[in-house]
Amino acid sequence: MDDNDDQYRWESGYERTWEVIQEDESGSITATVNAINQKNRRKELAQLPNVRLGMMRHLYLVLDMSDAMKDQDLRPNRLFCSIELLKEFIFLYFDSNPISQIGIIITRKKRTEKISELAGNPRSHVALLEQLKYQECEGEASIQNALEMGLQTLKHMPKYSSREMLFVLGCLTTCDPGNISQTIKICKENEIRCSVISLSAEVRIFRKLCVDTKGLYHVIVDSSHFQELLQIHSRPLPALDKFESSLVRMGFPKYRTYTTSNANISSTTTSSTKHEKASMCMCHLEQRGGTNGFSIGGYFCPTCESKYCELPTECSICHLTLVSAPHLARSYHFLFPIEQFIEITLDKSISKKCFACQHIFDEQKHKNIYQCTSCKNVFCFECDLFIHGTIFTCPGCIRYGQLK
Amino acid sequence: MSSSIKHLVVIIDLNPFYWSDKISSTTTTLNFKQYLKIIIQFCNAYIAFDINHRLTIIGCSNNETCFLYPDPTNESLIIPTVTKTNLFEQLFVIDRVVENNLKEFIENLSPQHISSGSMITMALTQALCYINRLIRDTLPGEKNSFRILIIQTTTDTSKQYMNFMNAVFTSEKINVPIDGCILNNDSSLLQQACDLTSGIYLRVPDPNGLLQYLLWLYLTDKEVRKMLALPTKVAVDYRPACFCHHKLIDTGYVCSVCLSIYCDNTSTCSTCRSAFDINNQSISTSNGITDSSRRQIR
Repeated sequence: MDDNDDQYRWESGYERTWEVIQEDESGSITATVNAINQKNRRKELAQLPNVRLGMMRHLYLVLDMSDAMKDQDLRPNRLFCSIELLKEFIFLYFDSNPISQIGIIITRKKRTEKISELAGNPRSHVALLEQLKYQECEGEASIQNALEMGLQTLKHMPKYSSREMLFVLGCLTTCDPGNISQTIKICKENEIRCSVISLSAEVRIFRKLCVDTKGLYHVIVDSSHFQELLQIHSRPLPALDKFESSLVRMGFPKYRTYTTSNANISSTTTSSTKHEKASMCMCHLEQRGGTNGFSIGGYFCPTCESKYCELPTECSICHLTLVSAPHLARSYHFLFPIEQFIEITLDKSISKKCFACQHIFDEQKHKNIYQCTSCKNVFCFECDLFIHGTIFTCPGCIRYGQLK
Repeated sequence: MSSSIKHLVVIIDLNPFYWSDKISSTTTTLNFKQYLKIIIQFCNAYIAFDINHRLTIIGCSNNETCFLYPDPTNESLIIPTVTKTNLFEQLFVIDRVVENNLKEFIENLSPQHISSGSMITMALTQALCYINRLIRDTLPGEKNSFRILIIQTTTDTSKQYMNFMNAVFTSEKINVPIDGCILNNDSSLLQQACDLTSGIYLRVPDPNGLLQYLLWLYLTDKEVRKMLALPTKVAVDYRPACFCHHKLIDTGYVCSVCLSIYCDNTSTCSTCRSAFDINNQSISTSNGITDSSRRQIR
């Protein structure tokens, strides 16, 4: 969309966009439209290899709750639509960045409020967002205050993580106590990447904020475009220049229940008597009342033996990040992307059916099929999309990986 | 009853490696012929169980996979004969198709590249693509459910960890439970797959009772399983192996760029070749300490 950022659509040359679309013999344009859609979807999934990504992210989500969010150009109104899409975004975010953290800030009445601190549990954030639906949108938004609030926390986050703020703004103005340029400068110095999704129109200061801090600036076209933009933000972005690499100490606790006899970790045999009784986990300790978190089993921090009911989390006693191996494995596909398949015509193909789904190619339906460059197997369009968008593993190449 | 179609994809391990030493042994252990017979029996039972059940069988050996059933090109060639009067027509077709395809598949196996592992991962990704196509082809309003059953006889291949996990995450995303049944030693990969997708994992204690176990656990879907007495879930070991020594670790060091896992401090990451400042590490941990102490003061 915004590939050529320095030029607006109305400033660029005159394009005959309709000439690309051609009718076939029966006068239908479905075939060409489909071909264009296919091309676009493939392009979307193409990943740049060898780009250093910011895999660990600390992100503050800033939601505008000013008067402007009551507007009904998104259904039922801007706030409801944004909250619904942000809920989806939070799950997507944790799916692509399992060991990252997210926090929520809202801004209204020229003030900001922190709804949730940086944390790694999607469900608690979503529950908090849900509550926001029933709160009043009023007054003006203050971007400076929101930036300052985000800065306070993000500035202390380690240098090796990607520190970001994502604004979802419906407003066209910002009411600030001081000079916002100064705050933007501080953000830039602290390497905090700010991105804005505008729900109404482009505002110069928002663009300046994004350009200066190397974030992305987008104005939505409609709600489905909004959704697409959030999907872009859910994937890890290329790391900034000054990005440091470092080794982070992490704990990999094992789920243990001491009533069963299979506690075979050497350190636990001595202390097993200590844990036989049901106990509270550290994550639910502050929630008073209710029996949530009171159980026999749990994940025990390998250094301090405090109990947690869910992973990933940070140990509140010794500040060790606790994760499990699948959490890390979930993001490996960003690091080892598979190559794009090349498009070939059906008659050049050696095989008459799709290697993955066993669909027999049809002269009419499958004009173009796709071939993996390393294992030379052919795939249909659906499988090509599914392999590059969801599985991230080429079925044919597995053989060579194993026999090597 | 609702008329939603229930698909089961059975992935069977046909690697000759496991059976090689069982040919000459005494009758007390299961042999390959019996193993196939049991699987066919199970598949027949699944089809006969409900009119809405659909079946796909994928075989995999040490370097090849094959869709054994359904096979639309060969299926039409088989005309049910009236030799066995009481046999359900569909079962007859399944038996013959699987038999023919299996013969062909095993005859074409190349004796080279003998490895102890099987192409389970390849079969699994193919099964997922196949299911994905079925999902795309469903008419709006129809609610079909899918399930994958892996019957494995060989040990895990650790080289496939990443590919296998990618397939498992996909399966989790499109809501397809993976059931695992293993005849050999416990497989930690399969265990994780079943746990993540909420399927059932079982290590068959006695291969002679394989049919019993299959019928007991794997014939039913999620709804019915709530009412069954299932084997107790064992805690799955999710500890990773470090990239340097392949040892399971409790605490380790993770590269912030590529998330490679090391059991000890290293100066460079072997995967992404980024250099670490070892002193930096101590700073970042000490930061954590000051951070916590500050909180206590407050």
